[in-house]
Amino acid sequence: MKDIADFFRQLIDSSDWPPRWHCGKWTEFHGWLYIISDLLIWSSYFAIPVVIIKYISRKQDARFIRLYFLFAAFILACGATHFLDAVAFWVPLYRLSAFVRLITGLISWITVFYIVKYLPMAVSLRPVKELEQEIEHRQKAEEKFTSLNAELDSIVIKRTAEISDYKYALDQSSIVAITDQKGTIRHVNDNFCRISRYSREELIGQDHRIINSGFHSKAFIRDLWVTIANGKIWKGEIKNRAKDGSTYWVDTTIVPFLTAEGKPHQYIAIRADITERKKAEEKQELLASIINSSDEAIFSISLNGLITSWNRGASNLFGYSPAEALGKNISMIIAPNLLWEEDQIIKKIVKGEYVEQYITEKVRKDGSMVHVSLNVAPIRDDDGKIIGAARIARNITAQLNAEKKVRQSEKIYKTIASSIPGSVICIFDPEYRYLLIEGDILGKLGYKKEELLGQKAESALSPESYSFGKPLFERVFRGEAFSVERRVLECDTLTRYVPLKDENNVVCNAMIVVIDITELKKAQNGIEELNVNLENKVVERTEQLAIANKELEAFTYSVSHDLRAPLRIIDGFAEILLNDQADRLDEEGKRILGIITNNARKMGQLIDDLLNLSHLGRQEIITTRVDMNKLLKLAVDEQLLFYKGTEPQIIADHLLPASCDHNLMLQVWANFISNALKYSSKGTKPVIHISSRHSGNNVVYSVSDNGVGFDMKYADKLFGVFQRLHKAAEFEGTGVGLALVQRIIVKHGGKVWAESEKGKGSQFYFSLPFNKQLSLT
Amino acid sequence: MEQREIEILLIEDNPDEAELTIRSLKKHNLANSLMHLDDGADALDFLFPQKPSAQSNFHFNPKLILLDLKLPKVTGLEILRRLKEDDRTKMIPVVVLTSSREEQDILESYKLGVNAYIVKPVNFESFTRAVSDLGLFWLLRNQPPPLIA
Repeated sequence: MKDIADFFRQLIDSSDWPPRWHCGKWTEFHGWLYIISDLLIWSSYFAIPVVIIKYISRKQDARFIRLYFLFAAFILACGATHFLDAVAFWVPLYRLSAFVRLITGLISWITVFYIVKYLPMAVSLRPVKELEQEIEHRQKAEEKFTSLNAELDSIVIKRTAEISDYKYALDQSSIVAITDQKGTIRHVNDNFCRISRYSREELIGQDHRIINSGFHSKAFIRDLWVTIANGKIWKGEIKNRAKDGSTYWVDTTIVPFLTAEGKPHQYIAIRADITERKKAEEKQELLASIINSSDEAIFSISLNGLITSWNRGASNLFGYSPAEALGKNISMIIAPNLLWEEDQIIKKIVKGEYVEQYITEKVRKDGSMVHVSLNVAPIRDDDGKIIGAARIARNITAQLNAEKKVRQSEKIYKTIASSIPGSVICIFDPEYRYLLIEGDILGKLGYKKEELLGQKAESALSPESYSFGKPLFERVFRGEAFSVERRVLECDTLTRYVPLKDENNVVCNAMIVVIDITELKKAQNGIEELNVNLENKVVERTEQLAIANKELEAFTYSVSHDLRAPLRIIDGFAEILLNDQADRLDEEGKRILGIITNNARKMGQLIDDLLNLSHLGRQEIITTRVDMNKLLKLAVDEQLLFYKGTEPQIIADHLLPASCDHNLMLQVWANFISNALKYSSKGTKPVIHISSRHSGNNVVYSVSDNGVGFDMKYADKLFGVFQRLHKAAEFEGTGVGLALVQRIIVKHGGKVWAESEKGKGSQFYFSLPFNKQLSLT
Repeated sequence: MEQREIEILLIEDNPDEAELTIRSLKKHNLANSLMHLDDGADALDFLFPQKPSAQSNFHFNPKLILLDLKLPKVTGLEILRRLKEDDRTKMIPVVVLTSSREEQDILESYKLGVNAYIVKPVNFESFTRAVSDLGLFWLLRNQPPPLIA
């Protein structure tokens, strides 16, 4: 490696060798011959590539360029070694020389490689001489060819002139198009463009589908193609579509042009415009089909009465088929007694007159009669001579029946309209013309039927009435149904506007129904007046009640205060007399004073009870959830406090809760317990049983005792004020307690009742509405 | 200054009622310096004299006023209102002694600032006991407000 590195470092170092002049023995001649030869070789080797590259750079179509360059490089490199050999006589650059030789060698081998590859091709290029000979040969042939060509040209020109004459004639007369074997349009003439309304540019390259109208069946088109593809000429009438969508008819001839093998290579289509003819034909067909498909009977007869045409409608109407009718005499559909009509008609026709809407009867094939409306017109030949009569007969049996029905229903309408008491019914057309007007209050409203019927509202009504009615007419004809109240003269009316719609739901007429509501109005006003009076009365009574209530309050207040004071004074002074003057009174006097004080106290109690009762009427009840067990205990304890009889046995079941006023319910329990204790049989131990149970939406509480009981005969008197079933001497009491209880219970929405048998105790019950929420809490 | 001697002022229109009350008080020697007025208007005149001279010397200060509610001309409630409105009289204990157990009367009396409300029992025994109880309480047990000069 070091050697190689040193070699390149000292590439242009010549110090290791002496110049060639000093190496061995060189004569001047030998040396210079060597040097000059080398320089000659080098200069020529330098010149060759320059010439080659210059030549190549000018030549446009040079091939094997890389080979030229390689060859140039190879010669240049060879030249360089010779140059270095010459220089070595003075400067011995042997290292550089060796390196250049290496490069020369490499280039030489690459060149060899390329020559092997490309030489065969380069060698195949024909030699120039051969080429020159061929050129000469060709020139001769060409000359001959040119002369032949000129000859041919003159023939062609002659023929072309002929063809162009034909072509001109063809182009002028026909619509011409040429297509290739695939059907692609290659040529069209001006006529083609004109009739199809496409430009030539739009057509060339397209196929004939561009003008296909879609009118012809696929089979028709297939037949066309099969014909021409087999080399045969096709003829037919084709309907095409122009660019603007209009259609045209062409009488078409397609001629296939065949190759030598007999295959078509192009087609020429020659067409003639037959649109007008076709249109005329279509029109005629249309007319014929209209006539034939018409439901009306259309037929014609000759002047001697023979049937010359007979459409489907005629077959349907008279029952004869065309085969049965054509050529027969018209009298077969005429009733014998009406033959005179036919004569009259023919007489008119012969004069060139028309018969219109002649209503008569004809005989059907089956012998039945049919009502027809007949129109008859004369038929003329080309010269204008009358040769027959065309007839149109329409079956009007259904129409006659319908008209009859309409007349009937109209009569019914009129009858209905005129028989509804206290009303007028009108029907208007969209011009507000009275088509129908009936009704018994027309006169009352100031109108006469004769003045209105058939007239327009605008002219028949007064300007005021019309200006009132016009917006209403407009509304009803917009399809709105509505009612209007109005006072006309001495008559209150309710007018109902109803749009009448045809089968397409379009308002065709309007019905207006006027109803006399004068009496109704009167009654209504009466009711309103009564209502006002009633309201006033209610207010008045309420005021009176309020005053009475006030008075009652004042009364109870007085009772509370004023009745009690004298009692106290009676009691007080009787007591004072009894205490202070005791020594001056005998036993009888004392007993009488005792009666006075006793009664004064009783009256005090009575007053208190009554006050309590009246108080209750004014009191609002405040309902809360009340635990009846606790409440009962409270009442029992209170009552036992004042009880002085035999120790009672009180059995209280668990009681259902109630929604009630706590204080009032306490009074209820207190009353029942006190009664049960009070009316216990003398001497026996009172047993009181309290329980409760559900009963429907209520809870029933009961208090049973083993006391004296009462006679059920008087059960209804139990709860009356001051009603007592026992003597005062037997049991104390004012007769207010149970009345109070009843008031409280009723105020709660409940009921109170009792059962008993004399001597066997009594059961008192009261019910309270059960609030479901109570059971949840 | 003779008014200074008055310990109880009884305002009651019914003379019989008044007698019963006075008798009951007397039993316990509570009616020694009692003044009885039997008309609402008279009572107002006495309590609030119209003469300017008298007004300036007003030093009426009983230990107790017993007031009936139902009085001719001016009602007991009106008198109560006037008494409790006036700075000079509003500290005098007032006890309503009446037959009325009407809730409205009781409520109104307390609203106006009554010191006690007694419903007269019909029974004489109870009545005597009630009157003497209240006399003993207000005259002997109760500490009256100090005199304002």
